[in-house]
Amino acid sequence: MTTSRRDFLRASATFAVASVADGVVPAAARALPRTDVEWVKSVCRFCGTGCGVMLGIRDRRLVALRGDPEHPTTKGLVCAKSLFLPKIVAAENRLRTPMIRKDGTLQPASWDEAMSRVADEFARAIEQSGPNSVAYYGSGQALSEESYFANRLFKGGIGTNNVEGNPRLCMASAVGGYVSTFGKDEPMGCYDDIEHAKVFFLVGSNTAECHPVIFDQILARKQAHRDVLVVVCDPRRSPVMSIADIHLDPIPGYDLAVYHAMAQVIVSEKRHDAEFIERHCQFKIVEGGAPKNVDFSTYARWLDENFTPARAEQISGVPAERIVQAARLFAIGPTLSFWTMGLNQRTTGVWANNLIHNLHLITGQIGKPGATPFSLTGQPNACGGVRDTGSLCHILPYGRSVTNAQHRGEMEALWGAAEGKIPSQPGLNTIEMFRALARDEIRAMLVLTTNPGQSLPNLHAYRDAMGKPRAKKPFLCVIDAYPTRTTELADVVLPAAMWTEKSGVFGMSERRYQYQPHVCDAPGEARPDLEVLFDLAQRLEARGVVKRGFSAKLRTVDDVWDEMRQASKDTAYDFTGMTRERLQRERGLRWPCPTESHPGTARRYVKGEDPCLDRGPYADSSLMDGELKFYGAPEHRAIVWLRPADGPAEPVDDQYPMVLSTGRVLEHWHTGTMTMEAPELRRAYPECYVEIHPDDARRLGVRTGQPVRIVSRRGEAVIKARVVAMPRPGMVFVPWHWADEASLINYVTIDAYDPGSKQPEFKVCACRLEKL
Amino acid sequence: MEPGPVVIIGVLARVDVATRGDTRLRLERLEGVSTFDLASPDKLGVLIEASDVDAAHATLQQQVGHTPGVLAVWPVSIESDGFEPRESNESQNG
Repeated sequence: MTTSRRDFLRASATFAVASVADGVVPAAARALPRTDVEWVKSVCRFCGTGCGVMLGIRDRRLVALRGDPEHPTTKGLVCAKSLFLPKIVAAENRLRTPMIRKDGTLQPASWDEAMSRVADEFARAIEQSGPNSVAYYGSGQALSEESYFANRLFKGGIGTNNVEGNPRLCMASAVGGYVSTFGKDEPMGCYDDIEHAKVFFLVGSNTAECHPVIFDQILARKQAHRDVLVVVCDPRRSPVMSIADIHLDPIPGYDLAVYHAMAQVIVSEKRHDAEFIERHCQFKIVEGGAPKNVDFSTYARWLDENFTPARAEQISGVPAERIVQAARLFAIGPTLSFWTMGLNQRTTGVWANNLIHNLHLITGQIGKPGATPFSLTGQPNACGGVRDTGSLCHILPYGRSVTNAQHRGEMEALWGAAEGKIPSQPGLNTIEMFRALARDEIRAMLVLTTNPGQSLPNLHAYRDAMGKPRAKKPFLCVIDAYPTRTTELADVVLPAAMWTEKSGVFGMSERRYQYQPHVCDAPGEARPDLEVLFDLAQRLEARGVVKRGFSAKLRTVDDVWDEMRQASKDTAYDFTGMTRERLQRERGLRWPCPTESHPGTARRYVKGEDPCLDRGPYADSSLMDGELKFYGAPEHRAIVWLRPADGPAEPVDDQYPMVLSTGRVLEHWHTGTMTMEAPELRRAYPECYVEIHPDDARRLGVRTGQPVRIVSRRGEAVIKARVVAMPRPGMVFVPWHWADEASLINYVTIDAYDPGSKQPEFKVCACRLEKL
Repeated sequence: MEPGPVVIIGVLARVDVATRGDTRLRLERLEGVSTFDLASPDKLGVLIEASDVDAAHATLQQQVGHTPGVLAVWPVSIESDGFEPRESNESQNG
């Protein structure tokens, strides 16, 4: 049969759509010729959804990509970003050679010269100023093995807890919420719950653009079942509003009263689950700086006294009647709450997370199909790579804490570190780490696979800290695959292999660990991050600042994975059953997964599903299948917190009368380092814009396309206006993907952070607009 | 010999079942756009044909995605005359 070229392309595209949609391939698309492309399963490089992809490989090059129809949760769908990954990986702009700053400019160097410089600078800092004068700033995009090894090297080898990563900027408040309510981090539910939920509560989440494949599953559920309802809580009418049945639109930063008021309605109308509360919950309020136990009737009275819907309307601006409607729906369920940065990037982020958990706990909407609180994650490996491996300044791998002597001892023993090597106090959190860099107290910093020169709030201060020439300027080494606004500030830049050019594990939002195979060659001299970290460890050992032989037993990425499995044993994360071979074979596994025959866990804390209730330190043979036990919480009871409903750190005033909020668009991702490399994605959104409500635009005399200056107490940006009724009046919204100087919106954002989670308040700061 | 280069984006569109017929007509009226049935009534297959990827992507983003009755669009594959033959739904040569 002969096929014209155009017919072939049409048939191929038809095949692609049909195979993803329903597996029924139209006749016209059958009988396509075979080619020499080898298809290999992998996982997408972008958000925390963890979409399964098939990589088309020819001659060690990535030549094609498609969604993986056999993936158990994403079922073949991918978004536009993923589709362009082959082009992004092959971009001409990739870094290919190590570079050292000489006479003010970055100049090519050999790997040995560059690594010697890095090791010398770190060794000098440690010798002269002690281990806490160095720091590591990693990423939710690094592979799990890379984050684990960096954490191991800095905490157990060098002896500093100055280990942080960009997840501090995106999901630290979710961690704080899970831990303070349930005693353990990470969601207990899974994506399967979408298939069972009847009420979706989407809070501060532009799921349609930021987690599009999840959004499609919600949409499909709603289409198939007309009684499925969606409640959206967001001050901006994002594309999620296309499926909203109820919209709660609080004044930015004043939403906590809404969640309390929903609880007040549920309790006062006796829609709560008294039996569940009796068996599984406790109530606490912080008084005089210490948590104090209270009972349910005190909680009910406290809600009545402080958070009726009418009172919440006064605080938040959300009509009381809508709060009542949302509360009644929530209580009916099964209710699945999804949230992201709108809740987390706040100075009250942990409290806001607690209050969502409160709603699930008092209604018993948890631990059963379709009912769960579920924090979505923005990066492919913030969960598996940073949260789980303990690669933040206050934690150690798999739920351990640096302040717990037993936990430190366990990790020192496993790592072969001297007793007492891991400091007993948390290191510097992200903002304090960069402030210490600005004070020249951090003398050497390693930044891996992230772009703080664009992504930190109050950016002027921290760009100066990283790059401003001065007598005692600290040393900055950046490892990345592309030039960024951070590499331009570095003293040494090391070119990284990325994604398909190395193997390792990504852990996504639903606790699923997925294997990414090494199928392509990296460009130029680029090396996998883990190889660079191995190299650095050996050089620091040679210089005497790390115990000789500290990393000797780890020579490959597989060695590191095996030690990680060992570290997880008998913890709530136990994934000792996830061998390398098994992950290569299967399409991801959800922890806990304690044996090689265990299928992984859909729902935690549920007897019969969670293996931690069958074996190990949390085992409980008294439970019947389906019964719940919050084994991480004090007395095994989750905590319903009576939290204040405080507003943002920087309320509006006469000088700065508007609220700035930042976020993302579908076609771009974070600082645009990758997506701007695909011309098609770049042209889809060629320049930054600021959304202004028509009421505000009229008052200011601004029209779409006109540049405006956005000014805060910290800085300014000049961006073109887009007049649209999406943000609430009095609020402006700016996506933060563009790197050009005028569009760096983080010059304007605030670096005030949540006292619990240390996560900055990107979502709310006061600003004013100036027409140009 | 065929005229000019061709790029085809294969799109899975999720549509409102109640207005599926009208939606399909609206889509078919767009330049370079054709549709085909899928097993599920809430989905339509859409092919966008243009002379280059940018133009096809613009049609997807600015027209198909905003057609009344279209609830969500998923670009599943990009097929291009400039690429080598491939056996199925792949996106893009590197």
